[in-house]
Amino acid sequence: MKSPFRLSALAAAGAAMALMLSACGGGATPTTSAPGTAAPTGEAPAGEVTIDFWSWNPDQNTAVPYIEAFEASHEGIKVQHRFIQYSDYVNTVQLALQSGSGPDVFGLQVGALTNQFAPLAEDLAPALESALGSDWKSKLTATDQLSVDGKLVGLPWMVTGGGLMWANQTLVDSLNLKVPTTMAELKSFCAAVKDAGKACIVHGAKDAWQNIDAYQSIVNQVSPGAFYKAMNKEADFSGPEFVKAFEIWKSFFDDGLFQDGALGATAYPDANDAFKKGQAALIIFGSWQNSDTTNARMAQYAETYGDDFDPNTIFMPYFFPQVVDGGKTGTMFGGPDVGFAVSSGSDAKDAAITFATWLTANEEAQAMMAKTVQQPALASVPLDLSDVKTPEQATALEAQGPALADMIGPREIQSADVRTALGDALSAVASGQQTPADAAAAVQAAIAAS
Amino acid sequence: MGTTEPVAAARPRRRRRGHYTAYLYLLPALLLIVGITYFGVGYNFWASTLDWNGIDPNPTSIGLGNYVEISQDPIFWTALTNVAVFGVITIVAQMVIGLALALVLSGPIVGRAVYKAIVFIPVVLAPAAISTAFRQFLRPDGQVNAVLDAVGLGFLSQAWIADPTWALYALAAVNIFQWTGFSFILYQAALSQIDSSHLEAAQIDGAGTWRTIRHIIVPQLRSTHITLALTGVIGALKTFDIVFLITGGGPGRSTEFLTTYIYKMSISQFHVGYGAALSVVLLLLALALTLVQMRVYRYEQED
Repeated sequence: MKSPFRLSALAAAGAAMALMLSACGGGATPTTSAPGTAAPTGEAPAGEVTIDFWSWNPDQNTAVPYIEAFEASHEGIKVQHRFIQYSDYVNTVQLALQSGSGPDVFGLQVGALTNQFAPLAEDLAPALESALGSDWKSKLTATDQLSVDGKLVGLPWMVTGGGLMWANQTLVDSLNLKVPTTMAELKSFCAAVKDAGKACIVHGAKDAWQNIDAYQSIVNQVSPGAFYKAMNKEADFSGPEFVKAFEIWKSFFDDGLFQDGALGATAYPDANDAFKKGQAALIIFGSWQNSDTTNARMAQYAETYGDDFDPNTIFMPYFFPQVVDGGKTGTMFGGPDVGFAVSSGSDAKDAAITFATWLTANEEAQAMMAKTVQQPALASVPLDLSDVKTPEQATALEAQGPALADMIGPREIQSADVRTALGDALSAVASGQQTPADAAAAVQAAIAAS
Repeated sequence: MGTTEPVAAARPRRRRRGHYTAYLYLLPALLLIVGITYFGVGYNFWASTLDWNGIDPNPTSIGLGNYVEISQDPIFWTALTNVAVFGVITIVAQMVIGLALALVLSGPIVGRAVYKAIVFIPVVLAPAAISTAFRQFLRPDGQVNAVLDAVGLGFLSQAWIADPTWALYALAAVNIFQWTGFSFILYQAALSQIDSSHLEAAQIDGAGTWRTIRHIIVPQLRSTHITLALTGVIGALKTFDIVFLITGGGPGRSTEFLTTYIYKMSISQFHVGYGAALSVVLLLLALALTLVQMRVYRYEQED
């Protein structure tokens, strides 16, 4: 008589657990609370439309001036912004859009995210055509990365690229060293930096994306363009150029160029904090950190880090050093850091399209970004270097111009499975669990299956 | 049920009304469980039969295809092995250390209350806070290696969470730190229930401390052992936060757990159907292991 009760109790316990697990299984309800969200108060004037705008970039602070400027020039449209950390972003937006309670305008990362969300987004090409004319493609950077099957899913806003290595110039100068430009120089540089008790390159190898950035920088020197061909199934990833790039990647760990325990560190905040606080000389970040050259950003860091941070620190972007004999340096890979999409289910579609188009195609909006030394998507808006600390930094930023305008390939990988396989392979090679040849073959298998 | 019993036959109406009232009391809980829990399980099972990215309004049904794929997925088997190793280490260590502490602190020791609090505090700390702290402690230049150095064991220093050889054991150590206090409290409660005449009898018969523990105390704590083993198994299968926050399943897949794999598959790789199937497998595993343990427990009791 007892066992049915026991069984049902067990089943209930199991079911409760399944529910908790299903929270990890994609069936979860969003639990993120948005710090930037305020419930609309007061009555809206007749004819006023409110659009919901969700993003991880810009964040709650950065978004404010854009929204204020937009609302000032567009009477009758209010923008309600909600910032969501990227770690929660995909899940939250996905569920909200399906249940009809989602945003009108939302941010998309190029690559897998754009592909997956394409069915839920409006085609924005007609809006761009009316804003910029029929030659809009030539006026904006890398819109092709936001197109899926001929549909323009998102509008580019900020253009960023990898292929750089940042130096804490203040630290390097204090050690009487020169930022290395070749592998041989890098090795002796790192030996000297470590002798001084500092880390050489601080790397967040727990994060697949930072490893993939480093690997792309390497393979683009071994065989320029091959990486992107392989991603399009036009080249074999198990080929010798990719194996060689894996070997060079491993040498960053084996030769002590990266800090000890790099595989347990995250890029943000671990590696970034160590770099900002002057505990490491170099870091493999891209042009999305360009604002680190401005006075405004230094003031923010002083607030964030307190006494650990010297606001006079000079952060200087360099191209990734030559790590292969005869390797081509000075190339960058990337595209739109974020694209803004309009939900097909939006009940304020016109206003939403107006806002998304304004962010991308309006000179005032793009000039606001240029001021933070982020590359605007609108080609007619030049970088604004007025807030950059030193002329040397300004020169270094200007040197990125040609590379950003002619990027060798996209930074993001289209298939999430291939991206995961490459991330796993890089981590496994670095920790000695897989040989470079096996790793390259595993990535090729994932490409073939995608 | 009881309808054929003579007492029930004598006063049927009153008995039945009593039944209905009882069911009414159950109703709110029943609605909650069926509406939320069982619906969730059912929905999850339905999702597990789909090839679905979680976004497409028209997913493809593939029957048990996801389950077939799971059986041939090397990452699934790696994750399962990791959970098994982690489970065995943590359950045994937490029980042994918890019991030892409970025994030591059951004696007349100065500052007993303070020690008890210290042992129990990690249980109530948020796993996110513990994970963040241990990510720092376990770095190559972190406190764990510093302590090893200070006591002359510097040669044991490791890049704990960055080394695939050690990362899983480091996670087990964090779990042991957090959950030993729970075993300790249960053992302590159980120890206080032991009839002291048994202990006195053992001492009169000339049993030493070790023999008393081994043959008198440990057998009498059987129901506590079972409870801890049961919650330990389910706890190991459910472990997500400390793994996700400390190693993220890496380096490579060396600390991948079923839960972290479900998360990655469903969220990062957009295979919601596959992730749901993995969740069902996890649920079945938990149910099966629990059933086995309950059987063993009952069998022992009937003995």
